[in-house]
Amino acid sequence: MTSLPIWIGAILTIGCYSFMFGENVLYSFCEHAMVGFAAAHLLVTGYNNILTMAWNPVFQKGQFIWLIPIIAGAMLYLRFVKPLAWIARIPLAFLIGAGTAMSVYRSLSAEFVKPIASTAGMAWNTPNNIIYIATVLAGLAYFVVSLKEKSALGQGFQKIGKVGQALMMIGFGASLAGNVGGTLSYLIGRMNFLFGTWLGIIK
Amino acid sequence: MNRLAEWLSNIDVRILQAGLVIVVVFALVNPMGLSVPITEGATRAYESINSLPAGSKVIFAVSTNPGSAAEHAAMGPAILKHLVKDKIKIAFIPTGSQATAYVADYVNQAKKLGYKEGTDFVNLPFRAGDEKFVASLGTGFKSVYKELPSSPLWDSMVDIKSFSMWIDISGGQSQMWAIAHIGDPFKIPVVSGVNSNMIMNLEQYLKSGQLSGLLGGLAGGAQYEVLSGAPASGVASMDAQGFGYLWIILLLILGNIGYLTSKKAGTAKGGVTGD
Repeated sequence: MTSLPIWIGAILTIGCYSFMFGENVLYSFCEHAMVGFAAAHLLVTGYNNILTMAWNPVFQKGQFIWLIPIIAGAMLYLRFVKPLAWIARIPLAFLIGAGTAMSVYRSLSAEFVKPIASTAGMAWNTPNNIIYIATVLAGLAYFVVSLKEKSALGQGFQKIGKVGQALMMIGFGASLAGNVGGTLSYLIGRMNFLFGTWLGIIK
Repeated sequence: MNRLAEWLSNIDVRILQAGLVIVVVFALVNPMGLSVPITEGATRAYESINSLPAGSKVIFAVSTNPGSAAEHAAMGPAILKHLVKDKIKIAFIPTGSQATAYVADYVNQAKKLGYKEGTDFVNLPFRAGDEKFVASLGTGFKSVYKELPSSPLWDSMVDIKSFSMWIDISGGQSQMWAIAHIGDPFKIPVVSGVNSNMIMNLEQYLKSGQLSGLLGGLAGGAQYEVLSGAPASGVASMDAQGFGYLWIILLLILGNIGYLTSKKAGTAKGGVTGD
């Protein structure tokens, strides 16, 4: 016999798809339940994090170094106390600074230098590699706007840039197709659940 | 002809959506076993994992959320089965706050496959911080999980260099954090399973060798199932996905016929109704 959680899952799935027929009570319930569950989950996860990573080490193991993040975290809430709101900027500045430093490091090293070095060192020995390198060069040519349009070099870049534009459009099209595939995956997953797990029609 | 074109241009979107549902359900109920083309990323993912010697340790990082769960439904279990078959030790890590439920699913699957907690796998709790968290795993792996009780496997995981691979199932950016803070600095191979729309952006990291394998969406999962010789839900869903694509292509053709015919007659409006 199908269990209660599966029934609830099936009713909520149907509720979500009922949006096809416009806003309705069941859809609104599903939407609000989803937001509510997500918020509750985040709250409990955050509470657990503070408890296990900071509170317990300080008050059970005497590791007072963890008072620093606890105090810094509490300082963030001072933005709600108008005369002391400026204090909240201190931990916020630290968070933004650390986050920026990390993404600059990631962007420069992993997302910029290494892929460029790898493309520059790529051998022209397979059709895939040739298309790859040609697309990179033509795509770059599209963004070269500093050359005079009437010069021979400028016109050459413009022509290659047109090819680059077309190749980029193919790329964007493939990306969109991936999006469609992703959307289909959600539908397939839900239909598998409804017609397989719930109704037992799909074996 | 004009009336047909007008009807095509103004067809109720709910009819099109219902058609898609019917096509998908038909293909799910009547599987035809269409072939699953294998990509380079999937082959490399399979070969990288297959080359790990028994007893190696891997990180199985998951940042699946309800919005990406359907895309990861096949690839995660397929990789997990492969790891268990090859007796690879696993550290499950949620890298997104909503991923804990999905990690719990993987843990249950591992137990069903005969894996024991503490000796074959460890289930590490969620830590906030996103990229900062992943970076801190590189610089001080043990210090992130100080409260965990001792177990034979956990005790053998001294630092990030204890691991032979980072497997990342993600609908977000965690594969980039893994490349930047784990893969590149510590020379640990990163295999990534992502949503299908992310493949285009990540192919370059496969080319540069920063990724050792790349699986995209449900199709990526199906490819991995084929490669590991264990067809399951991914392969079974490929017929449905193929039929879904055919339905969408058919609608594109019909829509364009309707639009072009209306345009010729000077009555083109474009768009759809009912949304």
